[in-house]
Amino acid sequence: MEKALIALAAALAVGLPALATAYAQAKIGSAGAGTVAEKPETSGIIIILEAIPETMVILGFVVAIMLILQFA
Amino acid sequence: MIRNMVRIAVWGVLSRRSQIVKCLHDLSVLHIDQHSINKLSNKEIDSLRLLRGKLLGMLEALDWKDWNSLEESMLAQARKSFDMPLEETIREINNSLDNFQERLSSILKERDLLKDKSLKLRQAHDVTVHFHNFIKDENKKNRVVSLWWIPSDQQSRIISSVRARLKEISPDTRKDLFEYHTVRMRENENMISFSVESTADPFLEEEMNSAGAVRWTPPVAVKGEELSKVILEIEQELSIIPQRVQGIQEDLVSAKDQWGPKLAALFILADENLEELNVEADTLDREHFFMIEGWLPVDRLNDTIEDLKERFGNDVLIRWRHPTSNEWHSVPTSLYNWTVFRPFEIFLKLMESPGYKSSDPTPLIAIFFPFFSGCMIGDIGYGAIALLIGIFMYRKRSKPLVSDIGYILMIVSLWSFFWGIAYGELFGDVGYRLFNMHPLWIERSHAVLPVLVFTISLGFGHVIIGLLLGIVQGLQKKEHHVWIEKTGNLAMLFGLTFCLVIFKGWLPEQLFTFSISLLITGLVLLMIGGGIGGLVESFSTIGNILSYVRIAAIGLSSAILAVVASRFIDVFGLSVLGLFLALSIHILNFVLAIGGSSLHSARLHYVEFMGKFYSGGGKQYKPFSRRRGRNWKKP
Repeated sequence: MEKALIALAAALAVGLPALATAYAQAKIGSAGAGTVAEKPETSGIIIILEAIPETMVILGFVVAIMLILQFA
Repeated sequence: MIRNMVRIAVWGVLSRRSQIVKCLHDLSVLHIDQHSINKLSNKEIDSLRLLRGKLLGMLEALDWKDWNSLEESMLAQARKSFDMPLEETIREINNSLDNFQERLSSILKERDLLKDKSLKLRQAHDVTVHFHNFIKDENKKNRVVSLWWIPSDQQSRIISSVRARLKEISPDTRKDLFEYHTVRMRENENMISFSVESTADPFLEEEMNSAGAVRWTPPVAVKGEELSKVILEIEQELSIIPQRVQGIQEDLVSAKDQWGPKLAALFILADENLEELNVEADTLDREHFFMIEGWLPVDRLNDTIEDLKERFGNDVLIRWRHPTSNEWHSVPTSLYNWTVFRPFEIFLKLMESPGYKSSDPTPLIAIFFPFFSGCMIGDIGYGAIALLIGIFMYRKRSKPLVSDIGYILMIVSLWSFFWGIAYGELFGDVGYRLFNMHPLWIERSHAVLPVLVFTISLGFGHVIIGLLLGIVQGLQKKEHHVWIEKTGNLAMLFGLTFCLVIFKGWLPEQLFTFSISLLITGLVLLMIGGGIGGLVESFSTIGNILSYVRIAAIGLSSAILAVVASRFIDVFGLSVLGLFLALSIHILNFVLAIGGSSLHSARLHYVEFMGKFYSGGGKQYKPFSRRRGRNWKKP
């Protein structure tokens, strides 16, 4: 039971930030596509903006690994 | 590395202006500020601009795109046309183009007409096929059939009014007054076919016309107007059109092969001449002299002066100076890196050019980008495939972008080999299964923590380098708040790290006071340099370092997916299905590994690393050069 709860906690630690990242990237991506269509020279900045929310899921991954290594 | 530039002024005798401008065009080194060039207008410039547009229009009409295979002999031939005085040259070229343009227009017009006709015939064919049985049955009853376009929403009203009208003229209700059949053709438009006695046809026509309906007529003439014969006629016409279109296409291809290279060569020369005229018109003129100013890389200064002096002797006077710090924002930026680093300059093409006197991160990107990507892929097998693809792309020298990407892929693949050996991976665990291959360092799919710590250390080092570059740049540009903030950030980062290391017991506790004082110093500097924003920035720096964990995370997912692929063989045995599934997963994993590692490695550079020092805002160095050079660009 305890192991199952740890696994659930780890899954939530990755899953919830992943959902948040996906939502943020969808919003940035659609706006970015419009921007690049009008100003192709902004493509570099848009890639950067698109990549910024990924940090959330990476940090979630670190937390998940920590949970598994510490408690499982 | 960003090349040092000088401001050069070339004074020359007005009578030799054209020759000097041509010479500068040949030398292809002078960056001329083009703020007013596009607004220039005089008779020669305007007529040349028109000719250039005409040539480009004709090339587009011919669909000619072989710019890279255009032979030098064609250019040499076209250059002869420009030996005459410009006005005469333009007139001659225009005259010869007019004849060809007329011929081309008539061919293109005929092709468009045929395509239009084919479309109409196909639509008519659809109509006649749809009503064929109805028309055939009604013709057998000796009734007259007609087809009409009507608005969809008016259909019921029209049928009712036709019924009422025909009742008026034929009170015998035992007979069918009319038959009809409808079909929806387009949005809001239907086609209706009426069949009536021949005596009622004029009344039907009168009623339909008053209702605003339009009679459908076949696009082909048929004797006796029998609609059932129309299908055959249309099909016959439709079978002829493709042959005629093919004949026209063949004419166009032969015109394209014959005229395309000539027109392209003329376009290039017209374009070059236009640039020269624009530069000539933009010079600062005095009574007998003129002056051209521009930016030149220092390493090309002596060559340029020697070339100009050798060709024009005392007819030119050259003055040059280094830019002052007030001018740095307007100096164009020219990158110059070692050959091994040069392909990595494409990373800066996605950003604004670096400013003059700022840092060029290309060499550092060339070192760290493949290292990070290779660390994420970390598989000898995937590295070998990437190497083959890289070599294939690198050999495409005619396409510089593809060649550069190929080169980068080759370097990435070499690091993938290195990390593959360190992790002991060859297509996942295939190396272990077949050759009993063991990791030189650790097996990353099992020992996650050491890889995580390693990647965070990598991030720490990478971010520190970024901060150091930021400090150097701030000092160079005398932006005090920048270098103080970056120094504070650096001090805080080291202070925190020391605290952590002492806490772990890896350093003696006596150093704790030092690390706390480092933290406080960093905090003070941060507040001085960036205020509250600086403090926030320091927290984001810690986030930036943690962000490098993605190297381990993506690597881990890639390693596990590769192992999963091999497991299919365990489950299904050495069967076709097992091999197919294993191969499919490996291909998917390879694509994800290459795409994901490149994207995330690029992101680490753009956001985490370059965010610490790169400001952009520079102007790209674009020398006044001929279109036809090593870096040929399509119009």
